[in-house]
Formats: sequence, structure tokens, C-alpha cells
Amino acid sequence: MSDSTRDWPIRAAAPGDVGGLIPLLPAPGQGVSLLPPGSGNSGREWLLVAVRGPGEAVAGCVRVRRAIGLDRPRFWYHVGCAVHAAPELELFHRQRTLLLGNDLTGAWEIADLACDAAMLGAEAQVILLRRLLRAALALIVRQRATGTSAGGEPTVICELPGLRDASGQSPFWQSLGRHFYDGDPLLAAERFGPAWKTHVAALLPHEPLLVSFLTAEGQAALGMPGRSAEPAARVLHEAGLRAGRHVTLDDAGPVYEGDLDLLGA
Amino acid sequence: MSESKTDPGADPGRFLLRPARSEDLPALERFAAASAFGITTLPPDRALLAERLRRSASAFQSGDAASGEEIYLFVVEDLARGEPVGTSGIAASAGFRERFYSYRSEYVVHASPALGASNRTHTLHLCHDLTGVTLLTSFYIEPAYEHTLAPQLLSRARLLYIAQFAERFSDRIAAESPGLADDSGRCPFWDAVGRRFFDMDYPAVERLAVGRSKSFIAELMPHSPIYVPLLPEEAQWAIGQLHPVGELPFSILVDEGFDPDTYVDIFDGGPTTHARVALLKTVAASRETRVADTSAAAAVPSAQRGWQLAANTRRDPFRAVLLPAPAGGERSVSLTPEASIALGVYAGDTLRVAPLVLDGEGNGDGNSSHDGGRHE
Repeated sequence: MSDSTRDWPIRAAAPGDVGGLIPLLPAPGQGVSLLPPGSGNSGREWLLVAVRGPGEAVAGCVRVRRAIGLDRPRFWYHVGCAVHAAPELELFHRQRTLLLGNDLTGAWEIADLACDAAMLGAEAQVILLRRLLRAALALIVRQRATGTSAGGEPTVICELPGLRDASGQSPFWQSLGRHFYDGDPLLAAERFGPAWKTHVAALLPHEPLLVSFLTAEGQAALGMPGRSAEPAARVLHEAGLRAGRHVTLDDAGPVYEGDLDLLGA
Repeated sequence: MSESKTDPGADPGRFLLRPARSEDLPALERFAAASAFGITTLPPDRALLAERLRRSASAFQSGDAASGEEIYLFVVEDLARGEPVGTSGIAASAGFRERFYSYRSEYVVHASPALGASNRTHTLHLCHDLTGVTLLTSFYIEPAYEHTLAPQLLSRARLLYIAQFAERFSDRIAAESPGLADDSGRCPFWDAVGRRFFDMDYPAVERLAVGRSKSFIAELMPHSPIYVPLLPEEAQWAIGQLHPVGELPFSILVDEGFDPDTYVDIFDGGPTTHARVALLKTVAASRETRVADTSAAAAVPSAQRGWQLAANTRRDPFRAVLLPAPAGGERSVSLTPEASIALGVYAGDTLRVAPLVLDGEGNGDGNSSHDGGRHE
């Protein structure tokens, strides 16, 4: 076992890793495995883990998905802009808008970019996350060049958790989502895993929304990563991905986007 | 009812509805001054009111091919006093050359079988549905007459005019009612909706709308629907809520069969009632009849069987009064000499009549009515 996260091996997850993954990952949802179907290489989804050494515990992970949203619809809010102008009245209003949609369907996704924060110092976390992200991007490049998914969409995204308070409540959800689904979003996320966003999207407004109709707290949370996501946001930025014009629909966390042809990964 | 001569309600036969004339300018100025509420088509401005009277006179006198631009202004006169005590109007075509904007209430139902959840969400959609429909406007009755039958004649006899000259009007009809706003200009609906796009308070935007068209302002509003649950509670509550000053004319229209629940004003959220003309109570029950004679004895009010609306069938001068309801089965009408003169009809002439059937004891529920504007 090495003391430096720089040397910890990264490999495909195996059934024996599940116990070590549980503390790192959000609950996958009932009946859903932590591991991708087909023991780590389904051609659609890959899960990589960093371990401290051969046979050692899992210290970090990253998941890669290809062509997302083609089996189950995926939803995001597009953050747009509406201008209301009347020069004669000296009126000029620029407003942000939210529109629910499936814009990022077909993209590659990097998800579950996480490490054992309790065991690692801040700098060690960043180093490990950086390595995991590079491994994930390298996997995508390999797959695009040679794999069953040769070519494919050039877009890669990574959703980050948004702002939440100590009890896990999101001010964005409090301002918007709760008016349309009165159940507990945390319980629903626990029960359905990532699919919960697909289920709740059916209840949310499908017409453009003006951000100014949200509460001040809800507006402030738009596109802001939660504290726990700050190291991940940093390494995504370093790798050339940027928070784009989309946010997640439950807590308005940023969706980082990159163009694989330009990332040089 | 008392028979005291000082009680204007004692004899409904003393009220006459007729087109407003240029001599009515002082009375209109009085009404306009007393009705400081709403975007006003009765602005407290002598020149504007005089223009409005000219416009109305030309509407009544215009040829058979109506343009839709006509705005008809009526007054109800207390013949015992010899002066108007209220006014009402008809705009032949809402918006005319412009789009007429409203918010239409809709309910969207969304369901997620997986979550076992569904919702029914109230939304407001900016629409032009009511463009071109006939609009009832400018209702004002002096407070002393609110509890008489004068407001009934003032509001409903307009419908007889529309029924008689249907080709000059739309087959659909609407009326705007004032929404909630207080004297300091606070308007919960405007403050939650319009104000996000115009940094001005409600009175300021009303002044703006007098100088410009309302549609000009509407075109600066967002065209995507408003999801009502996202509004502050006070604003949600104000949607479709009537300002107390509009209670009397509103209650008459609802009694006529106007639907108060579908459209609201884009500024103050007040209800915009609408209906099919042919289905309105007074229109559906109205019929043409003949004047049998003009020498009937005056009816004794205490022995009344009730009242009916009666109008001559002339474009100008159109006249309408309240007559004792027929005893039943009568195909023609006997008029007192006074009613004959008021209506300008003689034996053998045609009248359009409709029963005036009121709930309860029949004087409306008569809150004050100081809205002299575009509102009913």
C-alpha cells in the first residue's frame, strides 16, 4: 500500500468492491446494482475504482455512461435568457429562464466522481479525483476510437450536486419543485436512485419559467455546486470542462460540459 | 318600497335609458370625478369626455355597415329629477385594431405513475381570445340609486340594444371588472407579475395605459404561462378577485349568465367575465311585441307583479324603461302616456321586452359602484 494517492491503482470495479463503494455513492435505488450490468463492462456503462493497493479498500470511484437518455429519458433545466425591451419607455429587462428538456441526451456522462473524503486530506482528494477523471476521459477516448461505441457524440457531461442545507434540503427545490411534487425528494431519490429525476420530471412545468418567480434563495442556488462538490468542480475545470447552460432539476447543481474533440484527453 | 317622493326607488317607471348626448357632459364630468378607480374610459378630463360623447353620437348615428370601432355610451335619467344618474357603455369590438389581451386560467394535470403522484396546477396564459368580442364598459351609478332598479335598467337594457342590432356586434360579449388594489396603489397581482417587467407601480402603469394602448404594454409581458403556485400567496389569492367597488355591475352580469372564472385582467387580475350573447338571460327571454295603446293607468307600485325591460327598436334615439310585468298571456303592451313619451312610441309601434327577474327581493346586492372606467 502506497501512502500517495498518486500511485493508487485504478481499475474496473468488481463485485468484491461493493462494500467499499457504498459509503462513496448515493443509494442506487431499489433493485439497482451499484455495479454496471455485465460486471463492469456492458459497453454502455463503466465503473472505475481507485484502491490503495492490490486487494486493498476502495478509496475513490468514477462512473462513465455512454449515450445517456436513450433507455430512460433524462431531463435537465436549460438556463436561458429573455429580454423585454421598450426603448420608448426606457425599459430593458434581461431575465433568466428555465426550460425543462432532454438537451443532453446522447452525450457521454461522467458520474459518481467521488473519493473517501473522511480518509483523505483536501489535496489528496483533489489528486485522486484528478486521476479518476483522467482515467474516465481516457476510457471514453478509447471507446470512441475502438469500442462498440466508435465515434459517438463528442459531448461529455458531469452533473454535480447543488446547494443544500444541513438537513439536505435544497433551496432551489423548496422554491420550485415542491410546488409540483409534495413528496420528500430525498426519500424518492433514495428509493428510485438516479431514475427519480425522470419520474419527477413528469410532474414539473414543461413551459419556460422565469427565474424571477423563484425565491431569492432559489435563484441564488441556480448552478451553484454544493460544498462537497467543490473538489470535483475544481478538477473538472482543470480538465477543460465548464459549467454550461444546464442545471439539474432537483437542486439546480451545475452540469459541466466538455467537447471531447477539444479536450485533448 | 316606500312611496315617499324623496325615495328614488319608489317608482322604477321614472328611469329612462337613452344614448348620452352632448348636454350630458356636466353629468359625465360628475361621474368621472366620483369614479377615480381603474383605467378609465371616463377620464376626469372635460375635453376627453366631450370627445367620447362625440364618438358615441357618431356610433349611434353611423350607417348600417358598422366598422366595429363604435363605442356607444348610454345614460340612465331620473325623469323626476330631469338629469342623468348613471352611465354605461358598449364597445362594439374589444381591441378593435389591436389585440385584446387577457390571462386565461387553465389547469394542467401532470402525473408520475412511478412516484404515485399527480398534480393539478393552475396556470395563466396570455391570450388574445377576447379580441373582437363586444365589451360592456363604463358602468357608473350614483350611490343614491344603487338600491333602486336603475342599475338593472342601466346594465341590462344595453343587452336589448345588442339583441336588436345584433349585426353591429359580436356574438360573444365580455366585461372587465376591477381587481384588488388599494388607494395607495398597491395591487397584489400587479406587484407579483407585471412589476417584474415594468419597474413602476400600478397607478403609474395605468397612467401609461391611458396614453398608450394596453396591448402595447401587454406585448412586453412574457408570453409563457404563469404557474400560479410560484406566485406569492397574496397574489394567488387576488386572481379573479373583484374589487368591492365592482360588486354591483359584476353581480348583474353574473346573474345574466356571464362566466366569471375563465379570464382575468393582465394588470390587476380582476375577473373578465364573458358569455355568448344569445345565451344571456335578458337576450334569450326577450321578444318583440306591439304597443296596443298608450292610455293605460299608472300601475300602483305596491300591487306590482314585477317589472320588465322595454325598449323601442330604433338605433337612435334608442330608449328603454321599466314597465310593469305583463299579467300573463298578453301579446301586446299597454303604455301609460308618460311611458309612451319616454320611449317615443305610439300604438302600433314595436317594442322589445324582456322580463326583469331578480333573485331575492330584487335590487341587486348593491355595494357601492364608483368605477367609471373600462370596467363594469
